Amino acid sequence: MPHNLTQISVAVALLIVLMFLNGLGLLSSLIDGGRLSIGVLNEPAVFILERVRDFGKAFFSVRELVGQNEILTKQIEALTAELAQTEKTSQENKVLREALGFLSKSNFDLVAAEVISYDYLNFDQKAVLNRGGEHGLKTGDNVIAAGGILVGILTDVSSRTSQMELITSSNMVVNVRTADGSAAGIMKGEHGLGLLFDQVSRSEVLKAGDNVITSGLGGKFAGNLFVGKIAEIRGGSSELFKSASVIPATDFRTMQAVFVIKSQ
Amino acid sequence: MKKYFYLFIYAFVLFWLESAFQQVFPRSYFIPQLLILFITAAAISRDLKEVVWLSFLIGFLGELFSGLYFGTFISSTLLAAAITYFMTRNITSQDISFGTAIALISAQAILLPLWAWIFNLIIAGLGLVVPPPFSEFYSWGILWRIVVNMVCFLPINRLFRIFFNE
Repeated sequence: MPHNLTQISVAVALLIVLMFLNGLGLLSSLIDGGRLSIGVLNEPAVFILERVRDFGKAFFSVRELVGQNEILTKQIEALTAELAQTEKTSQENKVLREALGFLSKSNFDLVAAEVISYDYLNFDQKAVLNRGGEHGLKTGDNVIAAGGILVGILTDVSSRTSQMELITSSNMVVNVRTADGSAAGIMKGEHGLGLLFDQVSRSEVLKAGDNVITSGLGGKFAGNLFVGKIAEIRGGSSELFKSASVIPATDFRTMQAVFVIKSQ
Repeated sequence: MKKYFYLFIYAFVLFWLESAFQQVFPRSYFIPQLLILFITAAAISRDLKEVVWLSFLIGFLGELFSGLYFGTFISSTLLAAAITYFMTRNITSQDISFGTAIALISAQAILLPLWAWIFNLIIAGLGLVVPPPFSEFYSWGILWRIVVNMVCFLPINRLFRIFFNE
């Protein structure tokens, strides 16, 4: 036992000497050299162990990857739907900006409204707006689109909604003239398919491409509202008159925002 | 002389493996303490003088990558060797039993971190280092360390006895 104690005492003394030498910095070059050498020697083992570690991570994370994949797939679906909504909103924004630009320039007392549905029995003839009596609307008010384009007339007004008949409806008759004043007549709707500029005197000049506007005669429709462009001159229903088909200035099926001219 | 050379090679291979594992899986309790296990296997069957010198050599290798104050690892290997040497001196059988091995490994897993903390506390008392917190040395991961050390100790001890015992 004393022999063992001597051995241990020598070991402890030697340890203290080594610590003292290290404190003086005398062992630092030896330690640095050892670290660098071992670092180089470790490279092959480290290379193999890193591959094993990465394989293990990949192997055990498969279930996690499947779960993440499901989450990401759902997120993609949600984002795709959101993107479609955003595109629709962007289009609505564009339409409303154009309408807002028109609203500020117009001399009429206008109420902006949104087309919320079309009459499902008479799709091309009637539409429903989201404004009504509460907003000052009355039966007979003209409805226009941005740019002063005549769209229709209110035929029924409730407190918060109203029904509009389109000018393409076969019931509709509008007093119109060409923009240059060379011809005047009446505009009839052709069952929602288009417009017919009729009852034009044969002595008056009609040309394809002429703009057609409301004349204001009769008081039902305001004057100088744009209706459409003459597409084709037709023979007319009698020897005294001629007619022309007119392309409406706007596509009634894609209308979103309209304006109602409040009557005085 | 040749025997000591092969002993050194054996110890160096274990050190090489342990340092590579530490580099790829840092601070993991699943990495066995191969150097401590080597010195344990040596202390079971070798003379105390030999074991002390081996402890210094192994300890110095461990100090190369130890983040604690210089001397912590060397003193830990000396302590591990001393624990093993004095626990196994009275054993009459040729080899260590499974129960004794578990007791040894468990004692080392618990006592060596405690010693490392005390050692650094003493050095901090001299103003040479900031004392590390106690929680840095102990966690429930020590239980895994005991298991992993036990699994690796058996083959290391067996190889030691095959190649280095007369």
